[in-house]
Amino acid sequence: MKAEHALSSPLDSPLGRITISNDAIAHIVGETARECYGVVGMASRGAVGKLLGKRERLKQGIQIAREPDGGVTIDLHVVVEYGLNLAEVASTIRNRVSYEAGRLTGLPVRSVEVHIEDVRRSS
Amino acid sequence: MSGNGSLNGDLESLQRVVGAALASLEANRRRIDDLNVYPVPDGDTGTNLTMTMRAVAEAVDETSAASRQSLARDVARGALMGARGNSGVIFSQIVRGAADVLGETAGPSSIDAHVAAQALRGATDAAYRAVLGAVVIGRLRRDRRTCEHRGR
Repeated sequence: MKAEHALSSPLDSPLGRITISNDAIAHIVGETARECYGVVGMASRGAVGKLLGKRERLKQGIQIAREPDGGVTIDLHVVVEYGLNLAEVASTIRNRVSYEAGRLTGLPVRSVEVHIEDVRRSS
Repeated sequence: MSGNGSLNGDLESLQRVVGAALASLEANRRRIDDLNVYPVPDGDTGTNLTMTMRAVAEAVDETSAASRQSLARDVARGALMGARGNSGVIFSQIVRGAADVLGETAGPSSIDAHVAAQALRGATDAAYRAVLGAVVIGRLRRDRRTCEHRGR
């Protein structure tokens, strides 16, 4: 029973617990989203976004919530290049973010909500 | 020149090119699926590319374009609407970039090696446009720093 429990949650052990903060998850999500093809920015919150330091900017447009059992729900707000198939870009973001966040944290990712806040034409 | 006459066999040439590309993708779909490890190893890159190419082929079959320019537009639109998966989205940008250049040309023998090279250049540029500036800018900054260091 105990071994089974340890197996289902590698973050718990008799020696102590490992916790992963929402900020840490948000950074992973931010890095991953930025690498997705078609993403040209994260939705900024007006002038406040410009005042944020680099670390804060990485979490911009990302909300992380935890369920009581440790499951993670992710909301991210992105800006996508104009002229791309938005549904397919969003679906790729969802798959990649879910895959990377799950792989790097070991936590179950319950949902990834992708919000396309704007499109932009890069030159 | 205007009307159907201005296509000058463009449609037939395009049908051959697109048909050959689709046949090649269909033949190698499984192999490409097996290669796929990025961005998520779900092994569907070959399938996605094939489906996107099929959409382009359908657009070419259904087009009522009367000029090279509108034919190019229909092809780009077919790729955009039919794009499937990450590879399909990138591929649709490549198609659009090339179509934009080729659509601006006119005349039966106007697509020579020079124009073909320009079309490929347009394709790469279009594909790179959708890569986040920050990633590229970061790289450029690094390059500049390197240059500055070397200059000292």
